[in-house]
Amino acid sequence: MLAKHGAHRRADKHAGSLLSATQYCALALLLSLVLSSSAFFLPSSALGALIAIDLLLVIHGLYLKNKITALLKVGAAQLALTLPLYYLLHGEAQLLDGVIVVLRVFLAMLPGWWLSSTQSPERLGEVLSWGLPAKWAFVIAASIGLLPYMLQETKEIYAIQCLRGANITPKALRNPKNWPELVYCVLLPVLIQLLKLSKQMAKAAKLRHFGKVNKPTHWPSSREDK
Amino acid sequence: MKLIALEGIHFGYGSNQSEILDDLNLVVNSGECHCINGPTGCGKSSLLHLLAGGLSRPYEGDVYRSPSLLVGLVMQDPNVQILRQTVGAEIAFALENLGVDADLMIEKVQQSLRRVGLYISLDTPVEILSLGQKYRLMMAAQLVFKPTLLLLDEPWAQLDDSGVRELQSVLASLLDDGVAIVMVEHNPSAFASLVNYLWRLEEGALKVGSDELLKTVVDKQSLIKIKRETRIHSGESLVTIQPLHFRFIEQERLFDCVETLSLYSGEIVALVGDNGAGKSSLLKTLAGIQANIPSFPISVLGKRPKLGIYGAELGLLMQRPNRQLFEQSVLAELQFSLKRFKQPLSRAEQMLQKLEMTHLAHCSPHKLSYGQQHTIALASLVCLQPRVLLLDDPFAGLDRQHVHKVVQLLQQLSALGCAILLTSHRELPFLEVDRYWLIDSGQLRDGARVIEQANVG
Repeated sequence: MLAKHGAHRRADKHAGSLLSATQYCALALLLSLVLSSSAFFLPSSALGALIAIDLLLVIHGLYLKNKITALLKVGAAQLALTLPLYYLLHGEAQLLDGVIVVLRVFLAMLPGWWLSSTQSPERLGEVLSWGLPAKWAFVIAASIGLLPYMLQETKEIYAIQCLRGANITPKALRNPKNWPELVYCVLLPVLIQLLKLSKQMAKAAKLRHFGKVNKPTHWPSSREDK
Repeated sequence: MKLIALEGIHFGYGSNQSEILDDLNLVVNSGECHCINGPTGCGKSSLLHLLAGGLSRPYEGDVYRSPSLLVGLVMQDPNVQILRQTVGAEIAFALENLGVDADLMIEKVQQSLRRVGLYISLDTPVEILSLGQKYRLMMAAQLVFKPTLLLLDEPWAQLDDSGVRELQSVLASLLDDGVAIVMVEHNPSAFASLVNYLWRLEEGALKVGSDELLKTVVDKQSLIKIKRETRIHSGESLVTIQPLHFRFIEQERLFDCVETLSLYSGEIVALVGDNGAGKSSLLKTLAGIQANIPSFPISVLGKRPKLGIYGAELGLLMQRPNRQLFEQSVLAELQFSLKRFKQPLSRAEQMLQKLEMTHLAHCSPHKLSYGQQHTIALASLVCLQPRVLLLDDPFAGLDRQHVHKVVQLLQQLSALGCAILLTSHRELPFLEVDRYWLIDSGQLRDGARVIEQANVG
């Protein structure tokens, strides 16, 4: 985690020679939006070029010591769910189409992973506030910032329920009969936590004067600790 | 100067439920320190939110707020208040919302950070801080906008003793500056030197609290220290930690274990250390669920710890155990693991009888008080009668009644031969433990029975 923290600073410093951290963040946001949209709008023949560009993002993200395991797991789960459905609905001939659909979704998510793992939520919030009302910008930035925490919560709740005997170990989940257990043992408590948390965060933000001025200022992106 | 006054407040969570605040009155003036005590679920946190102006449901009664009133609130669980990823940005959040110029922010943020005794970089990720450090961070996030009324929810439970001492000093200087403080606290004695008014919230109203609570360390007077009568000492070591450098991969060490430590059948051992010492990480490592660590010479029930290999023989209660609750009823929650591990379901009902909680059997666990949820989560593990039970700060935020219930459960389990390892910031005056393991100055060692008197207050 410290390494990741260092990586943020390196990214800021690296870009700092030409651009401020906020400008760098704005460019990163724009690039991510373009690449994510391209994943859906480009013809299949152009997906190879998009993969090559996204690979650069992966290399950059990994260089900054961010982890991509969770995203890969989501991609693998999508593939495992989509392919059998395609097989059942359209037969073997359409399986390749199923792979391409999953690939497009994965390529749409990948720039989001890169953006959220290389840019701080407060900086994203600052950039978003250029074009959105300050409240919307905060909600989007806070939601992005919440992802790592909720991921950690999900991991911990999963581990707790495994220890309590829930049939949700990777081996048990090979059997679709156990999938509902994952939903009500892990996803339901996570959802409850998320609802509670969002309510409490809203309260915490309000108590710290959120919404008091129309144009809030922003924590400086480049500075020296005194 | 009068900052806030509550008059004839009535508040409840539903038309079918009794009011938790019933004709409540309170006046808070500048420079006063009020401490509110009472059992969990009695409405203390709701009262704090009412004072903060953040109560989500309607209430009856009059509230006077001075024009100069500026309220800061630190909730019981600092995690739910964190809005940013780095320390500096988190503290600066209020300044941003007040439109403070960016050039002025750094100095204000650093002053607040130092005032709560946190000497860390402004770019430190919040996620690497311990719970106690996060509590102090949230204090700094309030102090930065110079509140005239500071509300604190259960600070003693979250902080280690050095943290409490630093908090005492911060609060004393705030009181000198005319800031009013209202704290909800199960252990008022820890802040006895600061408290002007001690209240007990009972039956929805504030009653003057007994001065005895300020004189004695919490729970020492509650006479719940129960001698364990029957202990099974088979001499079998169930947990063994050999000398190691405990650290996360690619990070500096958290502590060194300098001698071989063993936990025997029937023993209760308390692992004591300051916030951030590595207690929770060690417990998760023993349960086989800590990620990002190298291989350590640790053996639990004769095996190297790994998730899913111990079945019902090992139980782990993490912090905020209410996270694990998901069933429709308390009884179903207790029966969940019994079903999965094919053990007698009757144990669930017996457990509720022992805890005198049979009346809650068909209630939703989500509607219980914090203390009740905590007890049910622990009871669901105790039902399994594991051979090793690991508990992360199991008494945090519990009132005397629920501490008593938890102690009873642990003693019963220990009598059956279960080895229990629990973590705490400090000595446990209300639970007779066999030994303490101490994490101090970067070393984990067996502290035998003698531990430095650590309780503040």
